[in-house]
Amino acid sequence: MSNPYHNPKAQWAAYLVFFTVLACVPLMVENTFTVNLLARFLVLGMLALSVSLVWGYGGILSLGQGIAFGLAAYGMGMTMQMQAQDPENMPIPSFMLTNELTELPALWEPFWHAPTGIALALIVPTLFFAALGTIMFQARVAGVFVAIVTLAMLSAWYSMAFDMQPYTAGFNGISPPNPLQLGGYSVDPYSATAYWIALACLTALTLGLKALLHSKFGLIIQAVREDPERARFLGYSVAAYQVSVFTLSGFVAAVAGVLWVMIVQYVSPTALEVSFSVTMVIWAAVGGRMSLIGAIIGAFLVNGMQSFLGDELLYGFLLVLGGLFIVIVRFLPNGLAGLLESVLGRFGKRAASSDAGGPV
Amino acid sequence: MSVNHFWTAFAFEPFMNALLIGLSMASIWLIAALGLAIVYGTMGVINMAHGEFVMLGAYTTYLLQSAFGLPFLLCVPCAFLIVAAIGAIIEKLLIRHLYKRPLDTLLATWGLSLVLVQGVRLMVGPEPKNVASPAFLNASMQFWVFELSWFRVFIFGVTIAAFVVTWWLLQKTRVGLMVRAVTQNKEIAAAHGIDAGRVYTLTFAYGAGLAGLAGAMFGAIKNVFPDMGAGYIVEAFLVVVVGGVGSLAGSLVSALGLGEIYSVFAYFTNGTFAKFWLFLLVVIFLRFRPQGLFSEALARR
Amino acid sequence: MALLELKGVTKAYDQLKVVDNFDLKVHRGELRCLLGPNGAGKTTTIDLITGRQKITGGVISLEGSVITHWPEHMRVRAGLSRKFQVPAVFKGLTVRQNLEAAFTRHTNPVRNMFVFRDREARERVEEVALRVNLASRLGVRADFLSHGETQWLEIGMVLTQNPRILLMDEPTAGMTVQETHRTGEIFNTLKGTHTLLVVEHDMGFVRQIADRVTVMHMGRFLAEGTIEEIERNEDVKRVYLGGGKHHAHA
Repeated sequence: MSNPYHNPKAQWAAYLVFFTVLACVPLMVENTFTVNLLARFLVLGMLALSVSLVWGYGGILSLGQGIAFGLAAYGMGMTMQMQAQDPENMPIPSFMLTNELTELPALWEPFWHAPTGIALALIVPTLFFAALGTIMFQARVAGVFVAIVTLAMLSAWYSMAFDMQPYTAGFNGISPPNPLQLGGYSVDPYSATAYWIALACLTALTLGLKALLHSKFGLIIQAVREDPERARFLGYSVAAYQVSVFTLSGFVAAVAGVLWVMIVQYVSPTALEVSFSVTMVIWAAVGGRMSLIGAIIGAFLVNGMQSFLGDELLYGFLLVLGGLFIVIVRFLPNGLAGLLESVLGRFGKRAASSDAGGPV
Repeated sequence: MSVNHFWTAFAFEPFMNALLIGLSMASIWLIAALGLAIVYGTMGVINMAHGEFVMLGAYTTYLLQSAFGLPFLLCVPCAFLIVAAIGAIIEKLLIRHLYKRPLDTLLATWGLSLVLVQGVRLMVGPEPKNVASPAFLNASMQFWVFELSWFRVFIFGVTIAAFVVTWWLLQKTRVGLMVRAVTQNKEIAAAHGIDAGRVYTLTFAYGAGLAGLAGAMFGAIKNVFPDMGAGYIVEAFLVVVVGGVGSLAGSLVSALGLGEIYSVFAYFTNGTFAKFWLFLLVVIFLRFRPQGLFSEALARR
Repeated sequence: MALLELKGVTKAYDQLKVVDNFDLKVHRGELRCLLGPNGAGKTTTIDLITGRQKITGGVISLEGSVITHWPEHMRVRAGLSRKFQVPAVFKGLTVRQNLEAAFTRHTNPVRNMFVFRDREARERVEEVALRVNLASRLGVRADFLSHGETQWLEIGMVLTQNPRILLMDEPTAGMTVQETHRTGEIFNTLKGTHTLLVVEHDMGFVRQIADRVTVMHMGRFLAEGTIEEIERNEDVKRVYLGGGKHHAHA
């Protein structure tokens, strides 16, 4: 008998149960505001998923996941905004008029066509991550330096979004008047449909990543995390693996950005705030960065607690969150999933040294 | 803002003043980065709460001034001492349990920064406070084509003084020798009877104190508010990273370089673009010199 | 033609030459030991061959192709495989995962995203595990292994790669006498089929395995020959075996 936590069949079963339960939620919840709130949690869970991939498995502490999220969110916001514009009568969004623009900036032109807009919202951040990753990892920038560089890029993008008022509506952000129109359908953010779209994306990405982590690629990115130099002297291009995993995580965060705007119908520079990106890392740390599903649950728990406590207690909550984070980092580096692992390990067998590893 | 007037044309006097502003910028970034550089260089700890130590320095000044009526110039050294004491406590309670886990220290100190910001917000309140500086520092001076406030000169002076004192402490004193020994090799230093734990506590406290000193001055330029620290932290990190780990001279040169580049970019475009391009430039710089300006690449094994 | 050839290889830090105009030829199927007192430049030489340190001067060729300035991973792909002095294994992964990672038929990340059950890899891993005494430890995480087992695991990883030449930097460092002897047996089974360049201090071990021995001193070539010749060599005795200031350490 070995630890059931490491049993691949048990893992897949846990994933199946988890996503099935999530799929049934809208059938049990009447309140549309709650459905919308839960859909938001799904998207935040997706961000934690991207952190788990890049940090937990890739060993790359990126504090810039918000770049992909934010850029994608702006792309989606622009797409949905343009769906409300009319080429004849109302060719440019009203916030541009108040900022003294007389014609639509070239940057906005492609977003007339919604599929192109959504594609750009996904591709541009992913390419940005590929480029930034290439620059960093070819130079063998590692550890805390990656954290600082990603942080710097994030804060640079934040100030751009904040300051380029005529193009981004600055501090106010873009709030498209109508829900997303997709192939003749209108995706009401408060509907179960929106929830299910978000869930479908989360499920597909999680299962896809889980399968990926069981591939040779998954093994090598973990090997690179453990000892990049050893991996290099086995003949692997460490940079190529790091760029791949960094880019993938950027893509996941970009999907989250697109879904987020579909669900909240709003995007502002807060998506690019430094504290938001670090908070994603907190979710993953709480749930367990070495577990995809753990990270998602971490996001659910922290955000669930936050909205349960409400806005009056927000500052108190952030205080507690900071404290909780310190405690987790200090005493529980693998989060709740790590806790589960050791508990199950005790049930499964006493010999702690037998069998371990495997992506969870 | 109109796109047509986006680029500012070159003009001698404003440009010279932009260079001067760059120098002032550099002194602000350097004093904010100095403590960070020492703590990272010696202990390998990235302190994400460094900005919050700056904030604590500003609040210390504010409280000393409003509650006890202490004159500003006396508040500055007090801010150093009080924040250093807070730093020492935090090092003993938290940081020392996380050595050898640099990424975890980074995250734990982020948690700490949340706690400090929210703690101050709950205790002192979220509204901005003012720190009054002496009248003679509020005046401006005119010199050739330059126009500069005395307060900026004051910051510049304090930064240079702090830099020189830090250099002297590290290079010329026994404590500095111990710090350098521990930086080189903790185990061997410990084998020669150096209490590495105490050296770390002192180093962290000193770094925190420098942040407090910076905060005392920053509070007087702008307002004092709970998340003011966030406004300095990224630039301070970049100064350290570009300068090279563990190199004081590197930090000085990189602060100067970054400050001037920023200021010149800002002169021709605007502050936001300047920041964006400066940060991008740093990333590209690291592509070619990941170890920074003054630091040798470290070998292992 | 020699499999691995070093000509005039030099590594200098400012004025100090750590490796100075060093020549070496290793032929196919040979087990060569590289000997020398501490600071003789042995590990640096291995670093230069594998590209871990930048070379100052000289030429390194592998089967005739000049690899002097290739990036590390390209040299490995060309058939150089290395074991580090301080054992480097993936501590958070199991023994099996470590060995699987070392099976590098494909190194392209995108290609590897579609590699799941690789039967050839599994067979190779089990064969190597048997060879390095780790067959019963495949499910164990590497950080639970003893020091000797960790050394064997890294030797196993190098073997899994099936390289043209295996570079072993002090493979028996920190091993017990029994473990060292067992390691010698492993090495002896490789003779003829594999080419090895082994840096060692332990003379007993060198006697057990070496065909030919090259001795370095102060970054330079000092002597080369069979173990008996080396033990008789006066120069070698002076700097290394015969005591004096320098000591061999076991």
